Amino acid sequence: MRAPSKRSTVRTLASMALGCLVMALTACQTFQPPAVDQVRFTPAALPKRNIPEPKIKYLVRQDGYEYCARITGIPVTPTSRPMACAFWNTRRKECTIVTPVETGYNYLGHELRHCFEGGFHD
Amino acid sequence: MIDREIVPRALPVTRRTWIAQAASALWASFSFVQAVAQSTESVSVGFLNHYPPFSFRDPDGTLTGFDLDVMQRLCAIMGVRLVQVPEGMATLSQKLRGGQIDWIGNQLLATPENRREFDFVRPSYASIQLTSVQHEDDNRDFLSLDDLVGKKLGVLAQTGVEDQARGALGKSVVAYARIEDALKDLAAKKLDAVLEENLIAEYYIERDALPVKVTAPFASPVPVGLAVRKGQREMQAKLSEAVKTMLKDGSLKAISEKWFGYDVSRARVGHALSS
Repeated sequence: MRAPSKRSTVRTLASMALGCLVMALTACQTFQPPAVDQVRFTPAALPKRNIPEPKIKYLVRQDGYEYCARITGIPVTPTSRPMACAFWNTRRKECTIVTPVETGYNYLGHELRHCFEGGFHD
Repeated sequence: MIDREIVPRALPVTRRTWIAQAASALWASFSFVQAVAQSTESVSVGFLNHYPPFSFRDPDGTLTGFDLDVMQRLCAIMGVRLVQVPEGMATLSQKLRGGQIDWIGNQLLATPENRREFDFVRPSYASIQLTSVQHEDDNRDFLSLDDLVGKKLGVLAQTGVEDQARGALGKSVVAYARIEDALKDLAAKKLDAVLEENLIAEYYIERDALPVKVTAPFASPVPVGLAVRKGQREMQAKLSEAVKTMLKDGSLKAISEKWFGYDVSRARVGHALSS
């Protein structure tokens, strides 16, 4: 049996290392909260709110990512996705927050702010 | 004490002088009217004949609608006089291409086909989105066609929405020639839900005081805008500035509340995007 050449050994090791890196990145990837959620803010004063006192409903959906992607037009990709969304009916003073089954405090808080203030970020 | 009225002494006027004076007076008045008319530049704006609540004829036959009010305001901001040109879509496109109208007063879908044909004015001033409509008493959550399996759904006939709904739900989809009839059946609890664009639904709910409500969005907001002829950069820029002014000075909000009961330029959905 012929011994592997030095070049092929290096190539094999390099591809194994790359494979490990990709696996590690995929397994450990955690989506970072949007920048707007990582700073303190002053809530809008009552007259400046979109709905001053909304009636809020919270829906936890199996298809939470897909639904939020569908109504916002932001696709679910391996590197980014809408983690939660909200829609509101200004005339009826109602707001609905939608999250997937697993969520985080910041996402719920983010959507809650939408319910009061409407659009507050790009 | 009353002063005696002073009557100027009449000058002798020959027939020839009288004719000359009359002609010159007539010419002067014509020039004056012409000057007044020219001082206000007019623009020809195309409107769809029957597109309620955006442009349609009231019972007296007068063209009215949300887009009419918006265009009146934009023209006032631009300092021009609005000349309405009501037509069907094919004729409006033809007239815009041929320079017979300056722009179309109804916001058009900014589809790739329309972008190839026209230039679009930014920003848009109304957010349009496909939504579900349910009865006031109904608290079920319909967020997707899957949620509507086995339910009776009303849609506008011969549209993409009908095709999609039929594909997912089959015979439980009821297609209507007029969406107001679907909303009336929903109000009478003959349907579980109706799918329609939010503004059109809001208009009929407000107009007919229907006991129904706009609930969950079913699709993302549709990009729309005013269409001008290709390459009309100056007109596009002027309109864009006027739209920005109208959004900023609160005049759109007032028009919007008159037709829909709320400010339609503001977003209806929000999201938290992570990456």
